[in-house]
Amino acid sequence: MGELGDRLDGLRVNVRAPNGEITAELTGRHELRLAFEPGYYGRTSESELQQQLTAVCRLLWVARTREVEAAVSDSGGWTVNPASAQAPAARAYFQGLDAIEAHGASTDGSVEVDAKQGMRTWEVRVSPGTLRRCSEAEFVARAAEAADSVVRDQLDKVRRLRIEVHRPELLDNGA
Amino acid sequence: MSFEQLMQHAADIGNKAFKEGLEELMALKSPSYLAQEQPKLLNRCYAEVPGLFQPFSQIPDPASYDPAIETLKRALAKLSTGQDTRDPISTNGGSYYANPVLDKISGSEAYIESWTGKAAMEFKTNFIDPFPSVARNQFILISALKAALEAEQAMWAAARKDIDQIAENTLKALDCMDDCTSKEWAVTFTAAAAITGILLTIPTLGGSAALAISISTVGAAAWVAAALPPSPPELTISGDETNAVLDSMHTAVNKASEVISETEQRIAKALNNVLDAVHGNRDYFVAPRPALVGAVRQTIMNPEYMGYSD
Repeated sequence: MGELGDRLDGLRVNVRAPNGEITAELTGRHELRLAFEPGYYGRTSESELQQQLTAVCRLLWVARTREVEAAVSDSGGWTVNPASAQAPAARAYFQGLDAIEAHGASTDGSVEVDAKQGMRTWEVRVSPGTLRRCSEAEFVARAAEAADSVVRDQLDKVRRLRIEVHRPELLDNGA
Repeated sequence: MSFEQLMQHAADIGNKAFKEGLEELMALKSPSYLAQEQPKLLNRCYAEVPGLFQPFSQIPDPASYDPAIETLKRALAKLSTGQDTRDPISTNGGSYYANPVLDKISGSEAYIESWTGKAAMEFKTNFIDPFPSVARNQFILISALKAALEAEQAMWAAARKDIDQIAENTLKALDCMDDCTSKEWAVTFTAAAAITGILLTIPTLGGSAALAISISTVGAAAWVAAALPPSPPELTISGDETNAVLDSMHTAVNKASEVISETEQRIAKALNNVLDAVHGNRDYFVAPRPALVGAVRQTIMNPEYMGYSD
């Protein structure tokens, strides 16, 4: 692993939900840790929580993207602007990224996350009765599982897309 | 990163590319295809990648040219006549104090001018009179050789940086593959431009006698003015897929080889021109062997040698 890889793997970004009651920290690409203001978990509802967590996901994605681009820039590289992509393969890759719909869920299914349009659009669902059933610490663990799961699904689909775009002959042969 | 770790970087690239490439194949969820493609990926990452970098790990240490360059500097100091004590070619060159020993040759004219022998007169015409020009031309010749060594030295120093940059940027591109949007890193091939300030100043020395004669009076400025630096070629290391990243690395390594090869040819061409000039105008670089060398004690006073002095 090179220096840039180490930096990206260790990247840590923090955001606060719009209502100020939830903070979220993402370490690397997969590790999410939520924290609630004292008393908030006991008085919120599933519908409010999923609304706030949807915003948290979007903010985390923006924060991490900024940090990644800064790290790449510091290493002497740059991010290719989708609008300036000329080669057919590059355009197909960006179109493919936009079309990816990733899905993740906690092991018990109580928290589900969808990411679309290259992770620009998010939706978090918290199943009814979750807040009554799970303690705050349990919910934090479920949310982390769902976040890990959606990121892995996205990455899996991006890897398949890479092959579809750059080595279509593999798919033509029935892979 | 540094050049000394080049093969370690090549191994890191192979490991990282294999991990990424394997995950791409696994995303296809086809065991048969994985079985078919994995050996190709293994070969590419663990044979092709180190094989590409291996020749570059053997390129000469620029510091190994220092002793030869120092030797030529000492030769320049011996050949400096005082007409112009600056190194006429190398942009790295300094000034060399005029060597007073050389003045003794011209000074010997007074000893020989009253002698009547044929060889004595020819010694003045063929040896003493052109001596300053011959010494000056040798001074230029040695400075050309020194410039060629300095050009080689600069080329290899730049080539080391170039190949290191390719390895480093390939690793960065592989490190970033899981961060979806495409990234690029530029690689600049500096090996050709590195010698520009040095090598293009080597004169072609010219085939015509008129040009060869003027060799001792042409200053450094004329040659330096001819040295227009070419803009260094540039490529990018990029790719959204493991093989695409390795392809861009392969193209860059090939370009680095090509630039080194072209640069070597430029140095060789310049040296061949110098060699042709020396062969074509030998008298300008080497004084003719004085006939007096053939004299012995019994014959030195003969008319074909020293003759008689008043």
